[in-house]
Amino acid sequence: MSLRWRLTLLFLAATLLVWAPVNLWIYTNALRDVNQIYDAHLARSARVLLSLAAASAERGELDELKHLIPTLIPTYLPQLQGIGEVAEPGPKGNERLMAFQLLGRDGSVLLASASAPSRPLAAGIPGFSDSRVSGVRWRVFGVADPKQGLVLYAGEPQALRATVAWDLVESLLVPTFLAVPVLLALTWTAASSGLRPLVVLVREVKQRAPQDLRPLSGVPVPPEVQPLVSALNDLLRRLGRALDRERQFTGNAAHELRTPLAALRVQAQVAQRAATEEQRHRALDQIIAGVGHAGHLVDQLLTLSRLDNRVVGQTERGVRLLEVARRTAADLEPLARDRSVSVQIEGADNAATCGDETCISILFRNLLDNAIRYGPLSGDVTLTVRDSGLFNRIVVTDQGPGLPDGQHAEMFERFRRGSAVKAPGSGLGLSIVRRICELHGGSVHLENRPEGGLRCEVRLPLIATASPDLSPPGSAHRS
Amino acid sequence: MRVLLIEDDGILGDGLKVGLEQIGWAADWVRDGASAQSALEVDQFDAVVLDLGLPKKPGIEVLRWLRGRGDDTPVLILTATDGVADRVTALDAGADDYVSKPFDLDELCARLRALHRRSLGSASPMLRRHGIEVDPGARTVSRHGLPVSLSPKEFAILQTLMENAGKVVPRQRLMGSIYGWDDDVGSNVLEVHIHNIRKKVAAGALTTVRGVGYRLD
Repeated sequence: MSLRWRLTLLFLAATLLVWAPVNLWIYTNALRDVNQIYDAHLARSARVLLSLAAASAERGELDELKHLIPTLIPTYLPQLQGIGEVAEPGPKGNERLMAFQLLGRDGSVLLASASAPSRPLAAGIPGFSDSRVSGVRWRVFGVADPKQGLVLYAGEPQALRATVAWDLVESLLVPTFLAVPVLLALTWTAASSGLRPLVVLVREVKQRAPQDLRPLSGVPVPPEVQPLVSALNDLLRRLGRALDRERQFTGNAAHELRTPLAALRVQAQVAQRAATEEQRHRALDQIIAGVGHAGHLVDQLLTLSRLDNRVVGQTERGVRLLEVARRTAADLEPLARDRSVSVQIEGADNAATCGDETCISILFRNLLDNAIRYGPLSGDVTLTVRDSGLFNRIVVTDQGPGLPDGQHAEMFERFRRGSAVKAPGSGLGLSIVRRICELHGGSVHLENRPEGGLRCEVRLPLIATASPDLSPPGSAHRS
Repeated sequence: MRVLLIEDDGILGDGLKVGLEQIGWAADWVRDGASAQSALEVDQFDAVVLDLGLPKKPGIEVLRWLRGRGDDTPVLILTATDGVADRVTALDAGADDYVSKPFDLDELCARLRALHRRSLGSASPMLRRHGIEVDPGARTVSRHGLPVSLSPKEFAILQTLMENAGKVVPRQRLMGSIYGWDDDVGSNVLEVHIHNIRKKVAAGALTTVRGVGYRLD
């Protein structure tokens, strides 16, 4: 449902919610007032009639009163509009208006109006009472004259009073319901006008060019919408940074791919114009090697690009480091054999970190690949995994020339290759290592070993023992 | 023609070296800035092909160093970037021309020839002397309008002699124009080539200057 409709309906509901008790209150108040007024008239009529009747009875002319009654009552009740013919049936069909009964000392009905029921309206109760006689609820006022032994009951159907009170409320309700559509229209307009800042904001966002990532500004927004605008601006900023990184990366990648492409083209032309079969074969071999290097470069670029756009904490679970290291070393066996390098994997079996196993495997692969490739032929490469108590310490050492002073930190920059390096490489391996460390909340550090060779130390967080979900698979039945 | 290649990528460097040798040029290849400087210090080249992105010492510094020494050997830059900034910097630092990677080997050779020609102070691509006509681009030789067939090395020697017509060209210079450092060359190889050139094109015009070299009159 649109915000506008929601606001309109809520406002309308609130209005009706207030109106309903107000009308109820008006109705009960009106009913009370009507009762007081009618009761007063009822009592006054009863007393007047009784005094008339007592006077007639004293003269022994009670029967004459019979003829007088129809003319008397309207005179004494001039305020009761619409009920002039008191003795007649009411204007609303079976509704009966004021009735009275004059009872003698023995309780027999001496005199009664035509509207009165045949049975007495009340039983010896002076003052006001409510009664039900032959299916009609009466409001009755009884008054007695002990001297003459007369009792007079004046009664009125109670429905009359409710009708009068309801008529009053009805006259209020009609305009109320007529007002609903007007109110609806006004609320709708008000809601629209209140939501205008949002509409302006929407237009501003809609009109944006896709590459326009400047923060939203110059749009007047109410304080309630300000957090949304701030959040949007924050998102735009982050998006901008990601895009810049992507753009820079694409630029670098294109740049780095030009050299292998140039090499392939030149070697292809050499093969084309080769004078001897041997020369042609040699050029073709170079092309095959070149395609291999270019492929490796593309792989590394894609890995890094995927790592760049990775959201941390998506597929994380416990990763057993030594197991992954062994598997990675086995994958690199052919390369190690080519260079007669012996690779040792050692350390604590149960060392584990929380992360993505593929990422950790890529991390080990890059570290071991570097050590095997850039260390000496027939050298030793060692990878140890230790739990230092605070973090997992993974150390990879080789027996290569190490790095010149001051180059250690630079090696993590993208496309940076060691100056003394002869073997082909993408210049991305250590960037990938660093990115994976960052993603896992770890760190990486390079240094030359005093005894010669390069030492790379990676620190990865220990697995959180408090959360059972993250425990390494199978660790429960290992001690 | 003798070219120094300064390129760190193994496969590209190898391809360039072989490619230039295929057309009879001598090519020496170094992989970093420091080696390039040593090579330029001890040897004379007709042209230099310089990659800008080198380890140890950036290409642009090698170029500045070279020009700083007063060496005006033609330098052609290999660049891997799209941006003009690098090219402008390189040209301002004394580069004579540039090609962007990936490039065509033929185009690279043509540009090197043009640079070499200009360094000799000649605008015309054709070399003419005594009815001998050498077209370095098409790699054809004719004598009095009749085509003559020469091997790539013979062609390179003849071209060097024609470019320096009237002057004595030392033996070492002629050897350098056809063989790089790595080539294993027999002692009388040059004499064999000279003999063939005399027989095919320049019977009377080519003079031996004993103990020094040769001269095309």
